[in-house]
Amino acid sequence: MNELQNQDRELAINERAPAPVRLAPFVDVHQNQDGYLVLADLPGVTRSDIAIRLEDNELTVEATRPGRSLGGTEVPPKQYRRQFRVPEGIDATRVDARYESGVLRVTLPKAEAKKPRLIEVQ
Amino acid sequence: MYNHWNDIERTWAAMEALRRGMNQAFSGSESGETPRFGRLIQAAAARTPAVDIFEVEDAYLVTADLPGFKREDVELKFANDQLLISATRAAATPEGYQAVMEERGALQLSKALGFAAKIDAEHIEAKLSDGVLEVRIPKHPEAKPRQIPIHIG
Repeated sequence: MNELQNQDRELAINERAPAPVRLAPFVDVHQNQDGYLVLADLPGVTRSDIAIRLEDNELTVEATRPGRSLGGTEVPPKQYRRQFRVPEGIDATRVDARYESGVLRVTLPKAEAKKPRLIEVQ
Repeated sequence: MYNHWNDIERTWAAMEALRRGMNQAFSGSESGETPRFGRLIQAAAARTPAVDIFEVEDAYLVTADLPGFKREDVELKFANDQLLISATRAAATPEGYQAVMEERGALQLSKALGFAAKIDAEHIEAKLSDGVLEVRIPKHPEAKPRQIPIHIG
């Protein structure tokens, strides 16, 4: 019963909240011999509200930013999303992401050149 | 009211960016090189960051999206009953890298904000966190709404 009431309250809150605005953040991509550096302007988000995925050579960056309602002025929540096709040969295990001063930095290192492998003769 | 002005400023900035972009496309970049095909033509004019203004009973709150700005990139002044904000972020390719795609570019905020209520300038506070500047501008005590007691005669 209590749980039901709580659910009702949550629903009421959700109904009142304005729909999030979908935005594509501004992004820079740089490269050097070691790999790629992706910078995205994501002001006002919390680290834990950023999701980065690298799947089938597609890099997806998503982040949510809470809205604000104060003194009759309402700023709706924002949903940032950007997707890129990245070149082959990225070492997915060494992808690194940092968030500082409202800017997300993702480094995508190139995989080490495949080393010649000695094949043992059985 | 402020938002309206913001729109005009943005439209102006966009027109300026377009004009410079066209100039660059036809006469080569400022360094004299012909822009490479497939490379984004950099808008020389900076974009204006988004600014929101809130008013509560005892204060105004001004927020500005300033991603990648350091404290020293932002200047705040209160003079002649106006809050002056100026902040600049230059476009830059990090050392040792070559640009593949550049959209973030330069950001420039230059704004003078006036307020309807008298301001307590001594107690204006500002902080910059996660790329958002937040300035709290308290109203002067005499500007705050005051409850007036009614005496029964």
